[in-house]
Amino acid sequence: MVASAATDRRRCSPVANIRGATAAPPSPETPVRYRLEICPVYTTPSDDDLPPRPTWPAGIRGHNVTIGAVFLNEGSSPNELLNPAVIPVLASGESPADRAARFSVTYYYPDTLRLRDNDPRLVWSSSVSQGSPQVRFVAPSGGTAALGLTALIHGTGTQEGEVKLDLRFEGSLLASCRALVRRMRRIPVRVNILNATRGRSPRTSPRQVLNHLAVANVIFRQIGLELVRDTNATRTDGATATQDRGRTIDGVFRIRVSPGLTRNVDWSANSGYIQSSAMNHRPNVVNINYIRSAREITHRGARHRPIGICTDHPANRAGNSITDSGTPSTSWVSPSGVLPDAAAGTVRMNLAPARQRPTPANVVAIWIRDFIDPDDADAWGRVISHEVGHALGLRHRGNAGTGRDGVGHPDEENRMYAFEDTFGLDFDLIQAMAVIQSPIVQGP
Amino acid sequence: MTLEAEVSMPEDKNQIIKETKDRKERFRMAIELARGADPEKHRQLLSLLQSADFLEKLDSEDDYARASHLRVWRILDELGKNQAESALQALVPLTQSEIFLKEEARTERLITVCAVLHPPPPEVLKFWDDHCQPEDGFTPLTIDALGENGTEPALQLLEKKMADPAHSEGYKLGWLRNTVLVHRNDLPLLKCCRRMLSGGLPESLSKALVDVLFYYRLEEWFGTTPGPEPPDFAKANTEAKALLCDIARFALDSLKLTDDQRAGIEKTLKQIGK
Repeated sequence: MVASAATDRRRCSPVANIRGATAAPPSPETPVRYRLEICPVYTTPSDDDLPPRPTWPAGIRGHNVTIGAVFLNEGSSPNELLNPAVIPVLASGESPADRAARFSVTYYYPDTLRLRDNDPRLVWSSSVSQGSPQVRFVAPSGGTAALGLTALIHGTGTQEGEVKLDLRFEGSLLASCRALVRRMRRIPVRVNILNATRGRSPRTSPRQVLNHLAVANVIFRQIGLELVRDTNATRTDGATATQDRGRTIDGVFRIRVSPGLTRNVDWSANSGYIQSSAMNHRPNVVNINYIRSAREITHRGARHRPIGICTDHPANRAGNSITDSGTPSTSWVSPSGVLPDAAAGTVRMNLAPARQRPTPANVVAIWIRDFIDPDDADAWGRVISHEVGHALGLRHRGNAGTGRDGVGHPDEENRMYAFEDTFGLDFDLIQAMAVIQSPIVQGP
Repeated sequence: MTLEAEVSMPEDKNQIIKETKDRKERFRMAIELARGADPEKHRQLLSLLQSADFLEKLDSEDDYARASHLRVWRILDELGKNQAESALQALVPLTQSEIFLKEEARTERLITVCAVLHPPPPEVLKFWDDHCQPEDGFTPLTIDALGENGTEPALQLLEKKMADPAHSEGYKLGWLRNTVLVHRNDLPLLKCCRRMLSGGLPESLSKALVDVLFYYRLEEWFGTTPGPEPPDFAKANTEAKALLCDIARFALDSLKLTDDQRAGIEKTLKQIGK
């Protein structure tokens, strides 16, 4: 990289010589260098899946701040997941402590810096990149900046757009990240538990459904979405309302069905537009039906039983694909623009075409089988968020293969990875840009 | 665990540990009986598998509620893997055992494991027939077992089910795109397909069958889900390839196909060198 470009790019680069003027790779003559990273993917991928780092002098190590798996439950804080793609605009009365977006340093070098929360050497600030959003840090400094390893920030007012968050160490800009500022969008859902008229049924209770939705909402908050139970009490297909402690649970129903509609359900029947997923649906409301089990198939020589499938969804209004050319790139797709990596390019993400049964119209439907203990809200919430991701037009994260989004990175950390029982929790910036253009979010 | 902890442990917890230990012991013993070539051991095992007491003590109610990794499944699998005739024949009486069939999870596995029986005895064919009724919760497993078995009597039953108006066309479409698709290189199944095409299968299903054989469309059929994949035509034997060609010509001559379907067939014919 030429010096002039380096000087310019240093403003948003996560590597800099704190005493020097350039961000040139380190050399033995300049042994004291610092690096901060705010990886937008959370949980943070392994070092091998991150942009290259400078080669540091031997004997001094960096420190991974955010490592290890994250497990969610119905009691998890709504802003549990760090470095989200969306900074939500909070309504008056909403508690910033657990509703504002949480950003965190994910790595720093050298580990001898011993950075900590409220560390006065670290100062976060924001600038507007697109639109005219207003944001406020939850900090004693009047909301324009925050200190330390982590920062809480939320939107105010009515304007939406994109901001860049900058992080300075002792006055030098060492790291930046991007986020969209949005008011939260609500997605109406109704859930039906399909009980067999004879034999075994799904084990999940209506109360457990609420826990599953709660976890899905922690995951969706990263992209400014919230699943809300449908309050329309219309019922079809023999559905009955459910109760918890004597009170009706809006949007959660039970239906007694023939065993074949809930056990070993043949999800390939009717070109996938199976009755089991659409029972008791309402147009344009995401219908999530719990079944007991689904048939196996042979895929690549192995027996495979899907955990859930989104059978019906409209096309995303963004079209067949969506692009992003911001720096750093979404999910730090290579080239990421994170020095010493090359400048970010344009990332194109493919979207799924509409897939909806001809009649009835406007079905949005998902089925999920009884794949794990219903008390494991973490697992269920992940699956729900994955399938609703499809309902919003997202494809599986991956470079190659039918139905992949063409982005490819990261695979396992992204919630849209094809094998949905993996640990990935992340929805990224380009996915956040796409989902807002779904008719389910915008309205028909 | 220390002795002290054991002494102070509530009785019910001790009971659970004992029951778990007993279940493991029963399982170990049953697996021993399932293995090997001793007909007497297989008879003993069959007797145990028809005992409500043994079955209840092998897998708990919780195990059945979860319906994953049941011990009884592994015992059935072991019998199915055993080359000894007496082991395979031990499966047959289970298809008539009220006690064994009381739990649907056992029935489901038995449907699948019986696919190893060549030829399937009449009892097994009846068992499959009985467990292939509209929306009974077993049918997809049975259809898969019929395709996997691949013998003439099993495929005749598949034909019978394909012709049965009680099963909707939508379900039959699923059978074609799963069971038939993954066995489309198998000569007996191709013979069955040929008979169905010339024997009164409704036109919509005939076209669907031709698609399954020659014009595979993963995303259209299965969306974003990793769907079943067809075997490579190159791996079909000479006789199967010849029959595929015969079916292709029949389809081109007799069915109202779209240009895409015709192109799909022509492409396949080139692939198999005809």
